[in-house]
Amino acid sequence: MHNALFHNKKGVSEVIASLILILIVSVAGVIVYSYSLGAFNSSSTFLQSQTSNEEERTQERFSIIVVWWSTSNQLNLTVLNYGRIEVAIDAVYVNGTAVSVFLSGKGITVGAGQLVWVKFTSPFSILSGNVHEILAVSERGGKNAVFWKA
Amino acid sequence: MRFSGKPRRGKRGVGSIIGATFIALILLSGFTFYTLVLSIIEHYNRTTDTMGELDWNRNREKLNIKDVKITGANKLNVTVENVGSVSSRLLWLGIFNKSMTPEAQGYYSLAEQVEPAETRSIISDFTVVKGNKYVVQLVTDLGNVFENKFYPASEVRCALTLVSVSPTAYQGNNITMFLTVTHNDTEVDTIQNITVGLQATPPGLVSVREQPSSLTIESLGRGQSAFFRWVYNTTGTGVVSFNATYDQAPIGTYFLSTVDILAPPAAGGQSTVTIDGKNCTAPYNPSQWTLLGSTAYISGSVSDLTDNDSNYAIFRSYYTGTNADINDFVDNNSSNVDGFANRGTHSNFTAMQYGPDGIMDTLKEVDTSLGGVEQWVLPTGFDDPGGVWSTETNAYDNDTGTRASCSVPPNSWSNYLVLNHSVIICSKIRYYIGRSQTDLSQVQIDIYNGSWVNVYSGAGTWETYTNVSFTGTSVTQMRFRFYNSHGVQSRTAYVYEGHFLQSLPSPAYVLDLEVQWSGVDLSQTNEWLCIYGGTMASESLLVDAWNGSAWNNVFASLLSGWNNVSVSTYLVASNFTIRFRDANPSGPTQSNWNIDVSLLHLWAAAIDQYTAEVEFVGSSNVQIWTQLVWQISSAWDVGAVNVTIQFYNYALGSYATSGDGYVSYVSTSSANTNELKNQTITSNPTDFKNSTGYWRVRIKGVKATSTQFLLKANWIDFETSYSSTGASVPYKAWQRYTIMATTATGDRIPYAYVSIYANGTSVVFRNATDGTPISNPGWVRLDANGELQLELQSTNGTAEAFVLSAVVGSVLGQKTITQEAP
Repeated sequence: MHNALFHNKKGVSEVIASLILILIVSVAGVIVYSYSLGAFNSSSTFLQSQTSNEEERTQERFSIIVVWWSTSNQLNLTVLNYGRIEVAIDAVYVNGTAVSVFLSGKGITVGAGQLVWVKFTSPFSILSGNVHEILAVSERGGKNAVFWKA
Repeated sequence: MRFSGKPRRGKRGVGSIIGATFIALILLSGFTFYTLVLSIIEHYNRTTDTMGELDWNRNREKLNIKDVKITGANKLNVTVENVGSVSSRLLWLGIFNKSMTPEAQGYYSLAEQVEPAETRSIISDFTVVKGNKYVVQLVTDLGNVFENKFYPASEVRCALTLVSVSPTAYQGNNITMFLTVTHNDTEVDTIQNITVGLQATPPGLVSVREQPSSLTIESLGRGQSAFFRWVYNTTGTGVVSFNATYDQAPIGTYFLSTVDILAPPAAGGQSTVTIDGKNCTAPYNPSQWTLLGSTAYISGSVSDLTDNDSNYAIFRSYYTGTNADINDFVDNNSSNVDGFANRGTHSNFTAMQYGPDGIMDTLKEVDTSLGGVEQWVLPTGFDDPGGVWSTETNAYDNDTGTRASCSVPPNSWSNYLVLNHSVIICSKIRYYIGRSQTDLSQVQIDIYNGSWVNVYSGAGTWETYTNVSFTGTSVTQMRFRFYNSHGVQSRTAYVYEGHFLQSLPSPAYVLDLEVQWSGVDLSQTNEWLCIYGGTMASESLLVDAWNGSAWNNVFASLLSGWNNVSVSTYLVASNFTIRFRDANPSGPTQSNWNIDVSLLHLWAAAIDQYTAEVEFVGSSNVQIWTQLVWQISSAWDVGAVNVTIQFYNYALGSYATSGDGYVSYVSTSSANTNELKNQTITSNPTDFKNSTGYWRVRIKGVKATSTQFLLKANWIDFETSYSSTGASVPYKAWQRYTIMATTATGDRIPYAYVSIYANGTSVVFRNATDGTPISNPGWVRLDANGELQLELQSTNGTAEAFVLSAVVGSVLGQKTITQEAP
């Protein structure tokens, strides 16, 4: 028995080799599994996030239903949220020029079916009789434009 | 073998199991991920489908704002119909007032569900104003917006169509007018109230038989039409023009249609009886009065002015006599008419402007002298004509320790040292001189009073003040010179000081004070200066009056109490000035005088007079008058009153002062006697009314008397005559008609009897030619021309339409007449 164990060196190495192989297989399996789990998780999180943003954009609907003009350079947009998600107006462009002076309404979140009034100073002088393109942009990037005659 | 072979086979199986396990786990994870992805995509697709459906429904949603009205409570009534295929949920009602600048916008929340094909009315919570331009907006849950421009009629040019049936009619027949108002404006959606009107010109040829129950429609949508129908009876012959339009229609929005009214043909060769209106004489009376001046109302009313009877509107006169008695108190003490400043003082000038009340203004002299004393004064400068003196100013520095000096040649006089001063009264000088040796043996001193006068020559007094007296005179200089008696040597002379003794006059107290009136009434006959004096000084106080160029004494010595004098001679301008002055202008003692009041008493002989004046105002018509006849009956409770009656001429913009519209007379000497004055105006009679037919007359009575009297207005009649067809007559007006009978061939029927009758409530007839009354009904003979000139008057308390009928034989002529409301 003793001889078989200590003199049959060929048999010992097989056991060790087997153990080593098992160990290698286990470690490799753990590594591959862990990697695959991480890849799945990150992929699903990314997909979920992207889909969620796109879905919110899909649910968003708003419309400029009337424009008020102070007869100087102040304008007021009445914006209707007729989508299925709340909306907040983030930017307004008049004839492609961004409005920099907002008096009220910017960033205010309103629910579905509600109105929000966005009052601002036109970036240039408004002349009676002229037609202007007014574009409202939401925080999600949704847009609505109207052609308004002063 | 078995020992070593078994383990080898077992270890191989364990590795496979482990590997297979891991592969299974990985596959499971992948499946889970795949499932999750499918779930996310499915959720996203569902959302996309939902929003797509929303967009689809949004496209299918269609609402029609059928009508917009303003309710009696001024709320908005919006009628909306769902003409789409999906339900609509209304979220917001917007209202924009376009009449305001900038426009006013408002949104009001709604919760209305309108199913497909359903029509629903929405009443607003807010109110609106008729006549404003509004835009109404409905906002739905699906994001659609429906607007309606709701403008007043003044903003819309509607299409009008007026059709007459028939365009030609015989007198007495009816014609029907159809008016269509179509809203064909492309900008406005709904028109607010439209009130149509139809006017016939001339109005006397037709009379209304039927008219629409309402001439107003509350709203008219785009493309809609409104229909109206009138029925007229033709009462005269000629061409009638009908003008259809609507209230506040834009300029040029009307429709004209003409109807030719012909005389009815003689039926079967019958005769005809025609009734033609000629002219109308409408009387009017005042509807109100205005009391002028201080005339007072006593009794009566405007209804008492409508008939020439014993009922009066009575007014009491007021005093307008001239009994001026003016006390004009002095106004100021700041004048200076003579160019000399005031001398003296007032203690309290205001006291002189009131009273007499015991409050005095004390006039006090002022001392114009320097006090009556003598004093030594120093020279103020020097002259050194020879230029030989040195330190000359030491000679008048009031210091005997310093001196001016001069070297005097042997056996010679020195040059002069001259000391100067402004002119003073002087009778004495003093000097302080010195010398180097006694060889300076003589001194000469002169003064200058226009020329040099020697006041001292001699050996002199040295090193001490020495006075030199002389007769007082006006002096400006003194001079010194010294004589050196040494035969060969020069000597030095010194002048330490040289002073003048100035003689000041005695005190001289003077009073010269002006006081002045401004804005004096120069129209009065009597003009007296009245001054009330208090305690007077022993020195007399004089008063002078300024006549514009010089003073004139009016009081030589004012006394205590009133001092009165006429100043008419000197009161030549509205500014009147007097001065107070003392009798001794340089008196040595100061005097005071007390003045309580200074005034001008202005008055004229009293003339008693009373005046009564009243303006009466009435309305009439806006016709073009051919004649105006006015009649005024009035009385006065005293005789011989100067009376003026003036009608207001609107063309002149003033009351007539002569000619038409003006009468002036002296009333009868018998009190309380009615006097009728009248005038017929045929030249521009319409000048006596304004654009709305109002007229004015002013009655004024003036009498120089001390007794108040009364104006008793009895009757004020303002009769206007103008051409009229007689279809409409004012209340109480006399309308003239010509009734004419002709045969079937058109020949007149002379002297035929005509039976006339008017079925009005209060209609009377009279013969227009001679004014004789004709009964109603009446039986009258036509004249040689087959005519009757008839005048008709209707006095029903309210407006009334009636028919005037004239029958000759079996031939009937009729005319429908409308009496206007009183």
